[in-house]
Amino acid sequence: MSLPPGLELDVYEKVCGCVAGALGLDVEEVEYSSKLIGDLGAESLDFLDIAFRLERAFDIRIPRGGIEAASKEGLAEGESYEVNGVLTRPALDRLAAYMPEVPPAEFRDGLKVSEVAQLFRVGTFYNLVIRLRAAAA
Amino acid sequence: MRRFVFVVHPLVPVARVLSGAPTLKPRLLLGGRPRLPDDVGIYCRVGFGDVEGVVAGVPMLPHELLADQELALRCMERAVQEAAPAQFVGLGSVLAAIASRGAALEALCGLPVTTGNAATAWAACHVARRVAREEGHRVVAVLGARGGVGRVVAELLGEELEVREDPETLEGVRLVVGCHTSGGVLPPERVSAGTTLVDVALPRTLSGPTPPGVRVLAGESVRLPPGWRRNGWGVLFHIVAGYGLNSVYACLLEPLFALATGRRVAFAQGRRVDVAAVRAFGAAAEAAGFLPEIRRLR
Repeated sequence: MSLPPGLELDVYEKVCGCVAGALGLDVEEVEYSSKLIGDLGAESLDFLDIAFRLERAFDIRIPRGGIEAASKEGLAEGESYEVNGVLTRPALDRLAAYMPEVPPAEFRDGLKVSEVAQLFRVGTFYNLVIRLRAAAA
Repeated sequence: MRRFVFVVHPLVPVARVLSGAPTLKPRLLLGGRPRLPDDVGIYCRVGFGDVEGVVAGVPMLPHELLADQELALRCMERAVQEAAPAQFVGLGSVLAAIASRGAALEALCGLPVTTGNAATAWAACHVARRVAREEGHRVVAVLGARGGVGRVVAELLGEELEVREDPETLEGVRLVVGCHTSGGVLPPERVSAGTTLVDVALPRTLSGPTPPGVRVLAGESVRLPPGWRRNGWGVLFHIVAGYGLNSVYACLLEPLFALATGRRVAFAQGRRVDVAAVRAFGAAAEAAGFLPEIRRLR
């Protein structure tokens, strides 16, 4: 398993513990690049539990819909986030920038808003925690 | 007398008022903004056999519960304290989905906490089997089969019917059980006339109005047998927050039968719902005369 350079190991291990606890897995089964839904079997309520565990572990507040909100913030005036539930190219580019842990090829044209959660990796939550801790500092 | 507390929350602001009435909580009664976690209320008292229950209310709306699970957890703890003494805790609606689905509250208050998911699965299976028999269906689609309730519903219905889990298309399927944990997953145009949808999802499964010729049934409405007790506020609670005077949501019965059968652990907690727990709950409920009913949703 390769981890990105500069990764804060203590934070990462706590994030893995939260994910494993919410999904009833051994922490060894959880990797930085694991897809929450595709690889670890998460479903929508599990995300709520992961968020709750992360909030408690790191004493942070994770805003609901935070990734979507952050992506929208970066859009230029007049640019739409989605059309009929399908993400626009500017929105895909914003999401790709916000989620560097996801391979760029997965931000394909035609991706639906409802499919974004399928891209989430363990690394997505690690990066979210890092950002929220930095913002709070 | 053994006692449980069932913790619920309002779906709309006006329902907060009802929880403030029996215990004369002025802020709740007057429709003011509740002070949390202190302003928990008591809706009513219910009972059956030698078990009695207190229905306590956390005055947070669904979006507030999802936005601050930690505060919601402290409110649930406060509600359990308000209703003390109790030996078992049940959770209703969104409260069963947050704060590690009962586990965090159990760790905090030291009492077994059950989410109601075993009772919900039992009721949904009961209704779906009855519809299948009456309408002659051999195939059922289970939506949300990855979730705790959906998984066990698919497994149990699979003993009698051909189950299609989260199928791409509902073509050729006229019996659907909606168990998805986020609701609103089924566009009405995907459902053909003549289909029966047994729905336990909240928000409900259809993402729009019910199409003509489609029947949507509550999957978790249980008819109360003779011997069900409630105080005056209970009558009001059953009318306002349930399926009417003589029915309840199945999840309310889960802590009751946990106590009645001498269980020391929850029927359901966390993400898993076990087939054995669903069967155990169902056997106890049916023996006592509680039966899920065919109730059409508007």
